[in-house]
Amino acid sequence: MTDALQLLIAGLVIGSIYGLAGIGFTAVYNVTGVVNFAQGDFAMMGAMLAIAMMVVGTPMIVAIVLAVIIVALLGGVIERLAIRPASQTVIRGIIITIGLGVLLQGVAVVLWDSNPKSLPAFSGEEPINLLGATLPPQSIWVVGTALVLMVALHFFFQRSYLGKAFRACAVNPFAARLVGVRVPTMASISFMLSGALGAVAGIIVTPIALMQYDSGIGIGIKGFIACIIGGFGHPIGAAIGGLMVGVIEAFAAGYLSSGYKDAIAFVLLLGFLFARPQGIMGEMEKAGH
Amino acid sequence: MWRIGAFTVLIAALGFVDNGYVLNLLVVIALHSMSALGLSLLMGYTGQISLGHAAFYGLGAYGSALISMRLGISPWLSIFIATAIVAGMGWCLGWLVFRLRGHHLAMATLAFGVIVYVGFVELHDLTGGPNGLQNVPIFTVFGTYLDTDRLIYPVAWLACILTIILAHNLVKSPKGLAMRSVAENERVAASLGQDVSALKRQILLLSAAWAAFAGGIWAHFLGYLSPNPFDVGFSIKLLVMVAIGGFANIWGVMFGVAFVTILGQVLKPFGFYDVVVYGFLLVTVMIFFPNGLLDGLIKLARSAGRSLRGAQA
Amino acid sequence: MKADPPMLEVSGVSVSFGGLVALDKVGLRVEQKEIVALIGPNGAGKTTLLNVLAGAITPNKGTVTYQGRRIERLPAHRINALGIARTFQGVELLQRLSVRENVMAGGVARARLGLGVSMLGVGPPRRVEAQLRDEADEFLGIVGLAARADDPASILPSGQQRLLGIARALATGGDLILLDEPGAGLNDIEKIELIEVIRRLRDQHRTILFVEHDMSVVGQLAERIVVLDRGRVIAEGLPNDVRRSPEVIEAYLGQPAARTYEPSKTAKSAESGPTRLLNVEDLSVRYTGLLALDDLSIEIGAGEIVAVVGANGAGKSTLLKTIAGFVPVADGTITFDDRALNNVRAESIVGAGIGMAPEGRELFPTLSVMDNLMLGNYSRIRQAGFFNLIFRSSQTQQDLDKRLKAVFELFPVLLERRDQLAGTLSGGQGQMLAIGRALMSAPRLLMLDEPSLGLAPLIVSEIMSTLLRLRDEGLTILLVEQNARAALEVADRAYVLAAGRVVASGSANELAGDKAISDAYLGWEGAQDTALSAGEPLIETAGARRGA
Repeated sequence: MTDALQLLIAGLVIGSIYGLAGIGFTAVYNVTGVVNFAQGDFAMMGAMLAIAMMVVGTPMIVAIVLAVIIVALLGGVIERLAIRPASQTVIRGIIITIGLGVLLQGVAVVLWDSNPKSLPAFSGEEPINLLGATLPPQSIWVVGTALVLMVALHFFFQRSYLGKAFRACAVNPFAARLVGVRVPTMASISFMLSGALGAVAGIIVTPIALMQYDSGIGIGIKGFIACIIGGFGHPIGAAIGGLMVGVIEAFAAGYLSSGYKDAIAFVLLLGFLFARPQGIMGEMEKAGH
Repeated sequence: MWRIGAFTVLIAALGFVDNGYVLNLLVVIALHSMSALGLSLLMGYTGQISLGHAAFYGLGAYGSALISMRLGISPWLSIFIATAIVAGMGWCLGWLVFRLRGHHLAMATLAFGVIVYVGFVELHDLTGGPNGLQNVPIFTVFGTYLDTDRLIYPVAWLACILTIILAHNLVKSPKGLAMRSVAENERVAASLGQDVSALKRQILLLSAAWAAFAGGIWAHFLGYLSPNPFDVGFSIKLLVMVAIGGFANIWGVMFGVAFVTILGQVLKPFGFYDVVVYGFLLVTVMIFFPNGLLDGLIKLARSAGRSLRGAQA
Repeated sequence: MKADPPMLEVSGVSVSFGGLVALDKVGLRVEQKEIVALIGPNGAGKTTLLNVLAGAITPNKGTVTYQGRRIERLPAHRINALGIARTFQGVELLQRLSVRENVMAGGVARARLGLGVSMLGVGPPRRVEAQLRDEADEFLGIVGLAARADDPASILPSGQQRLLGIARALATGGDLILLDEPGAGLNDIEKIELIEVIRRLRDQHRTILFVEHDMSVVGQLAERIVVLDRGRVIAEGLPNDVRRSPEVIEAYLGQPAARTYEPSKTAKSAESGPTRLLNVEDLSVRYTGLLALDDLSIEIGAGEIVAVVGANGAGKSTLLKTIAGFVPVADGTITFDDRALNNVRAESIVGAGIGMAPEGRELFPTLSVMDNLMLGNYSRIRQAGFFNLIFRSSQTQQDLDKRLKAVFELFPVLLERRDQLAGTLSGGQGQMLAIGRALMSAPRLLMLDEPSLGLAPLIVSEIMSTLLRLRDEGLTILLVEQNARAALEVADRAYVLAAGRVVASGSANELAGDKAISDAYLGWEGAQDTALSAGEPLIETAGARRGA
């Protein structure tokens, strides 16, 4: 029983990260209709930057904040320089974001090396005891931060004026332009937002799971799967989807072999794509008109 | 068509080069080209996407190896059987995935690729797990084992040139016209009587078959198999080759394969740095050379030639 | 007397999209070798019906029978294989292919060439290719494009694009050809060519059903006409009968709107010489590859209501979209308040003082009424500084509240339903929201694109009265309407558009009584006479039929 609980907690923790990555996807998709296959690599870059800064002595808080800002700006630059000129068709848009992801991985290898790296845990290493299962305190940070961000994003898109202007771009770009919204600017901002979200996700999970140059692929893909399961466009859906994937993965790794872990998420994905492509909560709004 | 002839002569001539390293490179190029050409038919000419093509390559390799090992038949026979089976799998996959579009289709094909790869790694009894299969039967011709690069060279290139010819013919044929109309506008294609879904499945079947055949040649040349070459990374590499090739350009794709393979060799001493270059290449080509690197370079050369002549005038 | 069963029989076909009923128990017949025209005002459902016939849409109810076979559930490619070919409203040529290749593409499916055989390079593929080539050249000859066979399809001018679309449809071997607005965007010469081509098709024993707005084309070709309005067949029969039917005339010209608001007597009158607010001079515009506006000039004075009326396809919507910055100007100038608007981006137009309630409303359906309205004020909030998008300053908030109050006063129903999702509003409420949203930016010129579309007469009159009220409060209004009668009732001046040009203009009172308007909409008069005097066999055959 403790085993199952342990697995459940581990699954929820990693699931929160998938959910955060998924929310990064939705931030971009809700505004531009583009799916950013480099989302996971934003997470990796955020962590790597924070680590690099701490290595030269920057205090952790400063390093984290700076890393998030830098990756956010990076997102905006990428949108302007790479996504906008090269996304004439959906397929081309997919390929360029894949290329960008690979490029980011390569940059990480060049700037740093290919070894897995770690960040110190935010509040110490003393494991906490919960109903017989042990969890590192960092897990609380992960789940808590993810929760806070998901709620914040939900409120942003549902309640705030700017968030509604964002959604307007995806719901009806023609009408958005009609009322004066500069859709390309919103696209850039959404990429910055997703960069920031990705960076945060990467940073908070590194103390538990380590990070290396190609860790982003897994995070990104699972985040995408989370979105599809939960329903593209819903931050809450991405969260639910992420938790589902995380938990199922954890149990698969525990009771089957850990090698099957990777395949499980994809089997789940295929299942949803064929049976219920709009996900648990249904696609929020179709991008474009 | 004359280009194919000239190319064949070139390849034949290169076959006499006395450098094992170069010969090996050329064999790899031949085999990768078969997969890349199939992918180009699917992506460039029919407008779909596949992020899991390495799976077909691997299925052909493992399939042919296992059939020849378990049933005790000659690799020459098993390779055809495996190819047929994998082609059938491609066709079935088409039924499942082609109702999806855009990023859903991309993810479904990625899922397929990953699931197959994990199968290679985890199904120990069948595939030998991470250590792979040993003692795969090697091709023999009149008792001689084709186990050197020089000996397998004609087999690999015969298959590759045949693939080029078939692709060329297909594109030029009325069917090629049908493919191009589907790629450009499925609604119009359907209104012209084309069964769009069936066409997509056929092309997927074909591209799966070519990749599988290449995989089979690889297996029976090497004599052993491991899952590593058949991972997502290889699918992405194929994507880069096709993108550099301009998606819908047979010679462009050949150029792309050669470019990426040789680049890979050049970058080997730098270890992981090849990742940067691939990413940079893909991004640059997608932004600046949407019709492929070869096409872009030719255009650059032409405009440079013009301005040179202009300066001289 | 007809002995054969009809070639095509449509019975009880109904199509709904979500809550919107596009077709309501539509029934019609097409006999062998007829030329039938399907006409009706904007939004009547003509293209939807065509899509049902061609298999692009499956009807919710009803049957379609072709040559005795039920086809309503078959996919498009199967229907084509049975012998129905179609063209598209937007032509949709295969841009990367040549002219000849486009036509060949039409014949490929018929050739039924297998995958394996196609890779042989010799034998069947070569033979089929040669055959397709010959056939393509033949079809290009029929439509008069033989000389351009090797050109890339992308460079063809609009009229020839249409003809290429027809040639491509012919290549599929259809006996029944469905043409979707073949005359749209063509100039006079191109229309003559088109009519010739369609007659040639008829001579080759093909049956034609075409959707069209251009009445001169209809008048010269149609043997029988079916009229659709709001998803229902409202008239059907011989051209002369249909033309005179009061239901048809009303469907096109619209109903007069009962006025619920009396304009104040101090409203702007023509003598006081209004200052020119908007000036459009010699405007030429290409839209979807066709020449939509041709050397067009209109002007609007401050405080006026100016109506632009005309049949569908005349260019009215394109005019508004061009002023609003969504369509680039090919030639000519647009000046608003002495500021040139030619290359101003759409997002900046609203900041310049022009608001638009676009065709089809274009709301944000998954946002609430309140959200839609607040977004209407986006440009003003943004102008006050980007930070205001996150936290509104008190001044920005006051401005926003003031505008909201004004809109709610104008449309109390929006206040009632302020939390309702915009996509669930009724047609009339949605139109009010679209207007309200445009008013939120405090524009000086309000443009409306077909506000009466799909609305009941009572609601139309409410909206028209609102426009009068707005005019009296100092707003200048440019009203594009298909419902000419209702528009002329509220307008001060009006322009009549046909084929991208102004064919009549003047004060609303003058034009209301002018035959020019009905001609522009239902201008069969001229065309009919020409056809008769030329002794066209088409008309004679129809007459012979009637006598038989």
